[in-house]
Amino acid sequence: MKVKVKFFATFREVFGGAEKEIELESGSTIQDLLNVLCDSRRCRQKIFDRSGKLRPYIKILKNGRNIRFLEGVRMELEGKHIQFLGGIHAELADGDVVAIFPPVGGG
Amino acid sequence: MVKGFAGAIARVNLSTGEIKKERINEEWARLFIGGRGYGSKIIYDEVDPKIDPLAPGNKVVIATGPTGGSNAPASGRTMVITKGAETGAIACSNVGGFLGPQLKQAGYDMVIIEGKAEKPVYLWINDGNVEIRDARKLWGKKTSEIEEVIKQETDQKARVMNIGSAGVKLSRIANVMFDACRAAGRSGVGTVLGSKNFLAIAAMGTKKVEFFDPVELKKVVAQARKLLKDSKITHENLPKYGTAIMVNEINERGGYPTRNAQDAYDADAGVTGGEEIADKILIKKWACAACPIACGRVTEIKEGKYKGHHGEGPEYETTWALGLMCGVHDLNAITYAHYLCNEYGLDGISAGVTIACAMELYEKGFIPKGEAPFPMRFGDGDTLVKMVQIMGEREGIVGNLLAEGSYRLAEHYGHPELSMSVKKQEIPAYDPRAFKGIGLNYATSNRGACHVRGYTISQEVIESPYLMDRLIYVGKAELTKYMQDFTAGPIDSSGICLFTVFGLEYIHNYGPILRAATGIPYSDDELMKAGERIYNLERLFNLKAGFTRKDDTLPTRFLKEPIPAGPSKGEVCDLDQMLPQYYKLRGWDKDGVPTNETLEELGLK
Repeated sequence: MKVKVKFFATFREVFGGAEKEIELESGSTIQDLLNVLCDSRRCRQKIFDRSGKLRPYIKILKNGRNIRFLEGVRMELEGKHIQFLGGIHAELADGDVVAIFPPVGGG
Repeated sequence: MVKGFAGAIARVNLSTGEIKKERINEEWARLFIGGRGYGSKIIYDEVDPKIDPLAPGNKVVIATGPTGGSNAPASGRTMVITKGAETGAIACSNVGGFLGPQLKQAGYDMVIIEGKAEKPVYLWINDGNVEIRDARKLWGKKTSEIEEVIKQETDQKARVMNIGSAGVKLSRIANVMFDACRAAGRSGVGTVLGSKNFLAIAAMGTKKVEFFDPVELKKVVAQARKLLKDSKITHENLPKYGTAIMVNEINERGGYPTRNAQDAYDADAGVTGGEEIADKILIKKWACAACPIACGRVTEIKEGKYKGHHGEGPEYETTWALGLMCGVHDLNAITYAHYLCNEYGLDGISAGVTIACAMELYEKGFIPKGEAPFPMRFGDGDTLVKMVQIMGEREGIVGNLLAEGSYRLAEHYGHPELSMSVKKQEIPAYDPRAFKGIGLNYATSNRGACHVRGYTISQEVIESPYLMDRLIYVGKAELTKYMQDFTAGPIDSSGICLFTVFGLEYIHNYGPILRAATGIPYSDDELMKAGERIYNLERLFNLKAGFTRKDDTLPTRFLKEPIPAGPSKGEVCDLDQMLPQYYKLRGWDKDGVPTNETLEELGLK
């Protein structure tokens, strides 16, 4: 399957462009995608901390939804307060658009 | 005497020419902090809420905050407070630049402009002396020329605010330009000054503002500056790309209103964003007084029809309003239109949204062909530029109506529902269908649709200081009230810029600065309470002016028309899921009126 990945602000320099199309095996997750994208030490350092966890300030959207909320929202509304089930383990599908942002603000 | 204040207010009666020096009221400094709060208290006490905003009885307060003139980060803000010409509601427009600290060093925290001058005038405040000067030869000129000539007539080191030609022509969306590049933009505050035959203030001063505990102030300011330096938002991306870095952030979530909010996503919106601005037109960044962030953009158009023009901006809001809101992707035309707005003294947000409204009216056939001076379709950059020009000049039937803002324009043509405004003030660049909290904030903002009076985007998008799901309603009443009070009190009334929240985040990083500056022993909780007091005071003014619960709403488009495509497809903003809870939290009755208990608790009874 193919997913489109968009990079913004300083991540355009880190990943060498504004947009990439990435071929992945079906069933791949955001984690798998990031592993493919981070093909250099510099990239890995920008995205993951020393223990290999996604840096907390990096924002990733899958089709416009923050991955921290995927799957989690419904649960929260049902009173279970399990908000962060999706996250980096959210599964991708063919044609998905993933947007990756460093911390930005203003406006 | 409380410290942090210069200690005096200049009251200028333009009808009589009388200038009075008044002392700062220490009790008000504790209850209303300064800036927006203190200025709103003056307007509340002295201006009849039902008055025509353009009548001589309306007043304008130009107010600084008690941190102004210190090294507290981004602390040089100035607030322009009045009854707004566009809205008829209490208005407070907040601006950076350098005038605020100069005014304080000249011996004044605030200036009250009242009455109406017989002939055009400006004010020259020089180290304690206040002088009314003839402005006839500058009346109707553009902002940069007025700034230049006033500096020649006074002092090259003076700092200047002026209303350009839009306020002179009584456009309802006229702003006040500071340093000819920063705008006290919203609600028609420039219009009110224009109605008084008042053009400008120039100020210069050499007195040092005294602060209560300079050693402690230095320490807590250093801590605050370190937090801003440690933030990737305020230290890296905001200075590098400017505020327009938000274009992609918002568009990728499908919440970027385009073509008068008929859509909320555009696959090519990025060509108008911060990355492109940095790449194509940026010359250097620009910082206001005491600001370590420097989000301002000094730019030059380097190619095409508008090549060679230079100026400041665009910002996130104007690259949107003059860009995708009008269906325009041409960054050079957007930038030139932004320069024109600055030169006329037009609010760039209201100007763009009004043009977008005219384009929809035109495309739907509601503007008679004979009245439209040229085809006014979405998408063409040159059309956008021409529309800003006829708006600025009030040229022809349509140009004259454009200058009145979108609500009056759309109402004239029989379709007020096509004005994307609340309380007649145009919305900013976040679609409330895609960010529920900002929808509640637009609906309840005391000055009409506004993002910076309760910036829930901080939590709904930026994750500063924490993340809330933008699409759910739960918790948004709480979030909106919190951000509104936080902004009204410790931020807008202290004189510190809202953008510091991306690094300072919570009240416990503002309280120590205010206490060290003033010596007033207000706790952090009391500062938040002051924000709530200010918010309620503004609300009381509006209720007396005739606003009711029915004005706490959004354009029908956002309530009823689902977003047609993009990442937020299908969403609307259901205010009914938030507004009753919001009223309850505020201690207001079901009609949105503060209860006696609430007013007593806030000391407003």
